[in-house]
Amino acid sequence: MLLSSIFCLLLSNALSFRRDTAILYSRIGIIALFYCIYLSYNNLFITYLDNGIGLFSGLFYTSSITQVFHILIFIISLLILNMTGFYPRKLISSEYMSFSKLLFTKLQFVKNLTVSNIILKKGEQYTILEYTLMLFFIITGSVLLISSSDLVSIFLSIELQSYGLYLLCAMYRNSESSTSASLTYFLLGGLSSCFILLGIALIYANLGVTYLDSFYVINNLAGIVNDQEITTYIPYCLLLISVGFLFKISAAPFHFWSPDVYDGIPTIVTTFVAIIAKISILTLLLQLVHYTNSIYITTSYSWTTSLLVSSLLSLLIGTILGLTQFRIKRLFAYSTISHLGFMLLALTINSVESIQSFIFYLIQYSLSNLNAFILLVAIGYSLYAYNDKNINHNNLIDKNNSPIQLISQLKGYFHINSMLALSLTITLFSFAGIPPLMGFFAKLMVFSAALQEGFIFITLIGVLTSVISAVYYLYIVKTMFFDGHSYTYFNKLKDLKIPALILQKDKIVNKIYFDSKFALSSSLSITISILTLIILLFMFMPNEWLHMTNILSIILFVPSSI
Amino acid sequence: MNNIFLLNDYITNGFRIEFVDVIYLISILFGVLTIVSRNPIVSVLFLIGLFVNIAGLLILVGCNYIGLSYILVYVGAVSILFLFILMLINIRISELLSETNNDIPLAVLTVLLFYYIIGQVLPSNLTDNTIVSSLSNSFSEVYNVQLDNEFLNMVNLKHEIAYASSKSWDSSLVEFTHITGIGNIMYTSYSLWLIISSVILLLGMVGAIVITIKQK
Repeated sequence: MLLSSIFCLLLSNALSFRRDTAILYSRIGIIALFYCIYLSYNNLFITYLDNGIGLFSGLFYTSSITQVFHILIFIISLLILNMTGFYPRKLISSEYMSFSKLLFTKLQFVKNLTVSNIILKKGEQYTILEYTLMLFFIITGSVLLISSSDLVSIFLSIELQSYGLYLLCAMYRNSESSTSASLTYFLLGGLSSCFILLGIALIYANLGVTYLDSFYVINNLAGIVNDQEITTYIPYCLLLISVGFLFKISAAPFHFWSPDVYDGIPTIVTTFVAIIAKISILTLLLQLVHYTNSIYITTSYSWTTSLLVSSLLSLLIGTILGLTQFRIKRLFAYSTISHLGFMLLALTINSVESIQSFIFYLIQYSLSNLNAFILLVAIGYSLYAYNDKNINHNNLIDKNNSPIQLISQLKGYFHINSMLALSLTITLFSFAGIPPLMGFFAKLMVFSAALQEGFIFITLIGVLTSVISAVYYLYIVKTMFFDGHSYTYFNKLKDLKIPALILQKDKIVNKIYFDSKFALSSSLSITISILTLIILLFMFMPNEWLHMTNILSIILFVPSSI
Repeated sequence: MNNIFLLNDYITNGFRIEFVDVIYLISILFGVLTIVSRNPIVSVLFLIGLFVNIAGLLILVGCNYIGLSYILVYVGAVSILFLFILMLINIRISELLSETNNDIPLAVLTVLLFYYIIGQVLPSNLTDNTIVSSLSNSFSEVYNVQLDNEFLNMVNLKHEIAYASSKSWDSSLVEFTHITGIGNIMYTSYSLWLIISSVILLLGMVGAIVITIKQK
């Protein structure tokens, strides 16, 4: 389905000459993603899939975990496409609200050139036709990556995914910062691909095997038979591969590129780059770690301990370096790093409970991170009508693509749009792990799993770092609520009437004037409200999610029953 | 019969181990020269030499097809492209000179660390306790013993077998060309990889167009 829609989009992209139809392509993409969700939900037979079924002569496989994460990726990219699929602002007029008028009459704006500069200010995202196409390539890559069960297909699909991501970053060609960020991303991503390839080649040279299944079998049998002497070099290969993966998800010792890249590229693209790549690679790591956990380098040191080191470093670096940031996307990048620390911790412990907490953490973190980025975009849209008095904010680079760059730009935002500010606050509290919200439960599950297996030191570090990271989340909240803002409404807009004609069967029925009350369009506001309510009200109906994660983790651990 | 087969093997597949060592040395020399030389065009020329060298090595080892495609793709297309680009963009050599030598200890340290870690992993260093090498050793020994029994009168048999490529055992079972083998595998059991890599190529083409197309 994805592939066929890619080809359809490619054909239509090549044939269309108008640049302003990009919005329609996004909508087509949304429809295609709905169908993909339906397909993968339809294939989710938890009882029959059991431990997974190999596809295409074992090059890929499908299990309930892969299906669930496919659905997650589809949903998230659907919401991201939603941002470009609809115009961000709308006008509300009480005269034009009744259903009969909406259905039977047509509205036509009278062109008004003085206003159009502000009102029709379109982001570049509406003129890039190929955006949806790139997104679909990336989604294909990450879906394949999640369900790949062969080393070569892992490499191919990770390349498909990351090429798409580099291109997506470079797509906003008019902005210098996004191009440079894309170049950084490309070079470091290429380096990490080299690591992955080296690891795969060494595994093949040593064992002569690329199927992951036979790889697991050889490892686990060899560990039993030969006093672990045979497999001494395999953990190093796995370590090389996982170094490549950690590079790609920007976990701690390899995190240097991510704040620069996230800061440089437009916010809408950042949303996608920050979330999708992490979901797919972490899911793959889950499989890899789970089946090779019992290979020891020495008698008590398995290679996953190195992942634990990476988790510890991510926790520390993510929180401590995050304290000094004043650009909001860099801050989000560092908070992502510290959250990755939690996920890697849960991944490394590898008990039933910790895998459950890992799956839950991944899902909830992707959703709330998505919400945070969408909120940034929405806040940027809502500030178009305001004039900023603060001079520092006026000469920011690349202001058209990512309007909110500094934390100080959010000063006093509560007084401008209180609902958006509240939603952002709830999301940030959930990041910080304030009790009634979703992030708290995820952290709680990770910690309890860690304590159960006796990882006391790293749990302590985790608690401490989550307290420290609360400082910078609360700092954003404080600037939003308690500082005075420097925004003034445009004078031109204040007493502006936008004339519009209501037509009925080509006859002018009425002429109305919109005053300049811009509201966020309902696509954005509905997305934000749904995500915020999920975060806020999770505590009232946690059962579905927890049961699902529980079933998934149990399936991973219980041997096949057939 | 076997005698003829061995002779055949000697002519097509066999090689003297010393040649390989010479090629190794030359390619290391070229690699170092590629990095060291100041002029980018000279450096690319050394790179081409390196590619040709490695292609020769591959052909000598027995991977005929890979070696030929190496020459075709890398030497024929990629390096020439490099050369053209370098000639077009007109870099002044003085800009590329750097006077600092601070990074040499770091480079040495990195190389040593890398070699230490990788050296443990490389299969050739672990001749005795890896699965593969022990398997292949046992296989070749059996092979030797059989041959010894059959051809006791042949002189220096062990010496001659030692340089036949013992690990690519499949080539001695059925003598078909590499292209046939690759084709057989690529279009049957691994056809999905072919599809995925074609999608990647498609993405690359689309991406190059997207980045460089002139928008209205």
